[in-house]
Amino acid sequence: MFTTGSKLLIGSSVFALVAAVVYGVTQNEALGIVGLVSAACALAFLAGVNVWAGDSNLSALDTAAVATSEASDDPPGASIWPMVFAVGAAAVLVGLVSQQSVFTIGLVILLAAGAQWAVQAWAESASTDSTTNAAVRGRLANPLEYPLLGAFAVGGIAYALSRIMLWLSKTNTIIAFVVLATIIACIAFIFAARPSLKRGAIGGVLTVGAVAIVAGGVAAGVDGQRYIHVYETIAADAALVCNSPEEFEVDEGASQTVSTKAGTYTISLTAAGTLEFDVPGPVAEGSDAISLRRSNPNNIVFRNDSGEARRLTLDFGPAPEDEASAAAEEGYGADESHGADESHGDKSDRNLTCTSLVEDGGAQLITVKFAEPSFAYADDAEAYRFYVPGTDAEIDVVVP
Amino acid sequence: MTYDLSMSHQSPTTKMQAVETTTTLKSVTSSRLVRTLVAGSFAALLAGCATDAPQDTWQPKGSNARMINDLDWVVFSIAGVVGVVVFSVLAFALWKYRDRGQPIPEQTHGKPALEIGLTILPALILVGIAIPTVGTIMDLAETNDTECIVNVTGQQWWWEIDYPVQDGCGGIEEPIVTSGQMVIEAGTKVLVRGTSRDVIHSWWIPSLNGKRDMVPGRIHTVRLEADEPGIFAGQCTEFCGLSHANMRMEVIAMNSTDFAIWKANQVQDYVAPVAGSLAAEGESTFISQCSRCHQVDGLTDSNDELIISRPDQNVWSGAAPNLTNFMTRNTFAGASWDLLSKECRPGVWDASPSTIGAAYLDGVTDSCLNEVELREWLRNAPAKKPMYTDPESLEATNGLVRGMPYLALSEDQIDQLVAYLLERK
Ligand code: HEC
Ligand SMILES: [Cu+2]
Repeated sequence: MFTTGSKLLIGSSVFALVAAVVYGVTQNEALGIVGLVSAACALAFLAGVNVWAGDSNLSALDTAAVATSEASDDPPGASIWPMVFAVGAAAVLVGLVSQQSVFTIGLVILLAAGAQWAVQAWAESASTDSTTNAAVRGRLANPLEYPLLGAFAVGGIAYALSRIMLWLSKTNTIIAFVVLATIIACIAFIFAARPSLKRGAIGGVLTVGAVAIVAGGVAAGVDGQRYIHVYETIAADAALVCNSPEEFEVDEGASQTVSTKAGTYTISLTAAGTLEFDVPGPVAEGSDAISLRRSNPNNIVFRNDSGEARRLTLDFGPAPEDEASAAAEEGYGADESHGADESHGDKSDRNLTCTSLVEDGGAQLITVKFAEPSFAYADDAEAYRFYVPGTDAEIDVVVP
Repeated sequence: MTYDLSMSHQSPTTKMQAVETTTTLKSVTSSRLVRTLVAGSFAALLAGCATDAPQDTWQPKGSNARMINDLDWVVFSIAGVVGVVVFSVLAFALWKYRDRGQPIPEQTHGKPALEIGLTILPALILVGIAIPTVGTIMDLAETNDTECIVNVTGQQWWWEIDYPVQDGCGGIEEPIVTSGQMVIEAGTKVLVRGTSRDVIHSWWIPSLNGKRDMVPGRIHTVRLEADEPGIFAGQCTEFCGLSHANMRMEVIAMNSTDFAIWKANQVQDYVAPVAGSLAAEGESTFISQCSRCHQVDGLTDSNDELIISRPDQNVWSGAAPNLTNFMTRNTFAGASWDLLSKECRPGVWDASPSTIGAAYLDGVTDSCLNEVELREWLRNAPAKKPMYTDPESLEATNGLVRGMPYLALSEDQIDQLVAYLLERK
């Protein structure tokens, strides 16, 4: 009986009336009261007309026509998107003055909610039937929503699994995941063997599994990851380590294989105890010195065939007096802080870098970079030379 | 086609007219199409006839490029025959069975003999092409017959070329470093051993061999051999940033006598300019302005200490061209500009194989210097060659430039530097 339009008019007229009263009490001024009361009267009149005539050019008495008029269509459904959109907008503003992450999240919310809102609004004008409209919305939005939600879900589960792995000890991780994989395989077999199983049952099992993993991930994440030992690097103690054939902490568990087979230089320590080098292209280059490029990360594979664990050391010249120039002359991978002075008194006056200990038959990659040409060290017999501590093996390096 | 819809209820006469109109329309469009096509392909054909095309892949000037060229002919001939046959059959079928309103013919399916035959035939053709292709690839990868090793190192946007100490190349006792132009002995099997200091570049001298990508951290080899003395132009062919187009290079082949002279000259001791000369002022300007990036071997400071450049502290790639023998090359800045003036250039570039070595060895003399462009370079290098040197935008490289920066030199300083550089040969 009360159409949308009449509700609006009735409300407005009541509002005008209330306003007139409030105005009258507070302002004590006639003109405003007259205006507001007139407005209330006019609106009440319009409301009356509307109630009598209906929203359209239809007589309210013509019930059949009223039922099919546009005004009798289902109103649009309630939508959460304007609200989410507002939250996003607020986050963007807050983020602008506080943190960039808040801004970014806000922007994502804003865009997602905006898109959803737009799609919904568009779909709701598709027809007068709300089921059809929902289908229309689905057809447009689902191809985007499903993969995105799926990616989120997979990402979440992967992240949760990674937290669990980092929380368990190394061995327990292996056990746990063997068990988990077995369970998954068994469940999959059951599903496959009984195609008649209800979809609900399958969905239920999967949901329980997913929830368990996420919950485990949250718990493990909150508890923090296992203790992971940080190994020293060669650079921390280059002066000591690189001059010694002994084993140090840095040498523990060092890789003994190199996957690079081609496109690099190779320096081998032979069974005869000499250092030989091999370069891409012809072997016999006719020089006892290896030529390496200046200012270029030279990748060198050190191969140890000597029968004993050995390391390959490179002498870059006298140790620089100040730390700043030392950093510039170091090889790649030697970028950790300099701890040599405090930890050991045995400080060499040479600037060294080296591989960790390589077992017999093993190989390791060392990357060296020369900032200066070798003629800069022409009168320093030690400089720009590879050698193997504990043996006499050495080769000179020529850097143009 | 559109007429068909309305034709059903038209009298036979109108139908006839309608058909006629369509045909004329068709012939108008098709003749215009044919004309455009003919003109287009003619233009394309003519475009292939450039006379001054130093980077023409169809003009091999050495054994390696010739291997590629020979293979090209085999592959293109076979592909050409296949193409002609396929398109002729297609055209015949299109014409013979075009729609003339006849009923759709009977649709058949399955002719095992034909299907198997048409599978085996292309397979055989591919095998036939694969055999010489693989053979050529293997031949081009051969390195054991090397007679001379030359290193090239790409960086934004020039090539460094160095000759490691070796028995090859007629013996190198002291490393030689140069840039932009590689000098080799004609008839010698040279192995280029390349890498990069920053991004991937690609080494390509079309008349001597195919392309080889130079990947940072790896060493790649490519063979070069020139039949006769000459200058062979090339170009970086892996997009490497702003001035990729200005990253060029040349190989200069000369006879063995000339090559020996060139080598000896490259390792000669540094000769300081005569005291009090303009060049001597240039030397001190060079020390204060340029030697932090550019190495001049043998240059010493006032304490007689060798000056060692530190491009690694100034340039992102960690390198700048070695200028010790700058005027022995005849192009600069990624071989993109001539060091020789317009008048003198043809004397070297158009010289015959028998005289080119000597002409090249003359280097750049006072009277032949392309002073205008060298001065432009010194005045404001990034204005001549686009490079990332704007101090405002070097965050990504920790303040290091990519290329040579603007140095705000005065015209006097430029005069001095030109005089100094002219003696670097
Ligand atoms: C910050 C480092 C830096 C400084 C300083 C510098 N240059 Fe350069 N220069 C370069 C780099 C890098 C190139 C290579 C640019 C290219 O070709 O892309 C270059 C190229 C050149 C070339 C061309 C060399 C060739 O073989 O192609 C000349 C000549 C040159 N510089 C002269 C000078 C002079 C003279 C000065 C001193 C006034 C100077 N440069 C200062 C970095 C520097
Ligand atoms: Cu390049």
